[in-house]
Order: sequence, then C-alpha cells, then structure tokens
Amino acid sequence: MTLLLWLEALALLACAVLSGLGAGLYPPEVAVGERTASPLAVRVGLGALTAVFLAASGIVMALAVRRTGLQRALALSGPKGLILIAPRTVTQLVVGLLAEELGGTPFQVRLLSKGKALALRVSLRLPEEASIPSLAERLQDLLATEVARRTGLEVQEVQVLVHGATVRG
Amino acid sequence: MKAERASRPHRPEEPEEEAGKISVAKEVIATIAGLAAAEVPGVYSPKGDPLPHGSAVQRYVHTELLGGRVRIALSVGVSYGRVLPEVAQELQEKVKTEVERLTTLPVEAVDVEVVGIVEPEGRA
Repeated sequence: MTLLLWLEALALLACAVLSGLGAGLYPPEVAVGERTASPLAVRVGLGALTAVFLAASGIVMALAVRRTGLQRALALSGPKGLILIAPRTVTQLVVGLLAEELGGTPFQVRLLSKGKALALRVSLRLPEEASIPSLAERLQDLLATEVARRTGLEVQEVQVLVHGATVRG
Repeated sequence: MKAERASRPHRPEEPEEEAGKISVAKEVIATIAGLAAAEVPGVYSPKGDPLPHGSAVQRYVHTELLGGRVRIALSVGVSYGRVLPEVAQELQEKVKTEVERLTTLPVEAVDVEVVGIVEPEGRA
C-alpha cells in the first residue's frame, strides 16, 4: 500500500516534469490543420497542468511519508518474527476505549508518528458539565496507558483538541 | 540441491529422507499454518469471522521458501480487549511449532500483521 503511494507520487512527478518540459520546449507557432494554435495559450495550459501535477505529487508524497513513519512506529520485532499492527487496528482500539469513556460524545482520532513512537490526536466536543483540563488529563492517561499496554507500542504523545462544547437545551 | 530449491521457490519443498524424498507444497504449509492459527484464542480472520478451515485459509497466509527454510506471514484480526503482542506471540509460537512438527521443515520466522480489531458479539 505504501509502495503504491510512492509509485503514484513518482508517476505524478514524472507527469509534472513532462508537461513542464512541454511548456518550455513548445515551438513558437504550430499549425493545427488550417488554424494556428497560440503558443502562449498552449504554454499557459501546460504550465497550469505542471502545477496541478506537482501539487498532486506533493500531496501523495506527504501521505506516503506519513504512512511510512506510521509503519515504523507500528512494528515490533520479536524472536520468532515481526509483529505489525495496522493503523486501522490502533484506530479501532482508540475508538473502543474512547467510546467506553465518553459514551455518546462524538470524537475523531488521528494517528501520527513521532520518530519510532506513536502519537495520537483526539478531537472532540466538550461533554456537558465537563472541565477541559480534567477531561484532557483523563483521556491522555487512559490512551497512553491502555494503548501502550494492549499494543506494546510506545505512545509518546496524546493530543486532545476540544473544538466545541455541548450545551443543554 | 538446496540452492537449486531456493532458486525455485514455487516448487514443493523437499525435506530429505533416507528412504527418499518427501515433498511438501507451499499450499499445504499455508493450510497447516492457518489451521494452527485458528486454534489460538482471540484470533479471527481480518473480516472478523473465525478463520476458515481447509484451503480457504490460504488467502490470509503467505509462505516463502528460502534455502530450505520457511517464512510465513499471517494477516489476522484480534478480538477487542486482548493484548495484541501476547496474542501475536502465541500465534507465532503455535504456527512455528505445528508447521515444524507436521512438515519437519525449519521455520525461520512467522510474521504477524494485526489488521483489525474484532468486536465480540453483544458488545455495542
């Protein structure tokens, strides 16, 4: 999967180079049938295409870098072989723990890598009558301890982002 | 002989016996590994079903033969609440033991990828 992302990024980069070369080397005037295409318009078009390919390549490469880092953070080596934990598995585990802790409060989870360790980012709305510091501390303790215990992975950081509050009525 | 076998990994592996040769196909190794995995508590298919018996389990097991040694990779789901490295280590031990016992081929490594958490029945 990660290899495919890298290949996709390289293919997009190759397309950007080709369209960039096309824009740079386009001849001053080209006859298309009885009409002549405006070289400036073609160059602008190819330049825009180059920018689009470059942007897409950058986005896919960033995704590939993130996934490669995560894969490193989610691998354990043992005497009888590797133990790999898929990002989806950790997300499911975090979702299960948060669902038990928060009940019906909606939340979102994102996995990040910090070197060879794992970082978690949880964003949620503040439940009714909860205080932000105590909730954040409780969630940080719970996730850091339980995810490390159940996966054997090093959890270096748990970021809690409160982006709203639930108000009664 | 061993190098020749290593260069043709799709050929059945052949542990040498005094009275002749016994060939074990990769598919057989995968089936044995899958059956052994199914006996480990908390281990499911990546879709959350119990691991299938017979050749259907081969889709979750990848085997490689390198220089007469076997390398096995399994993709599994593990039930919620279990400690993943403990389950994975138990799985590695069980698969290695069973494959070595039933085929007499040395198992170099058993790589386990936990691709999902399986919710136990009755848990919301």
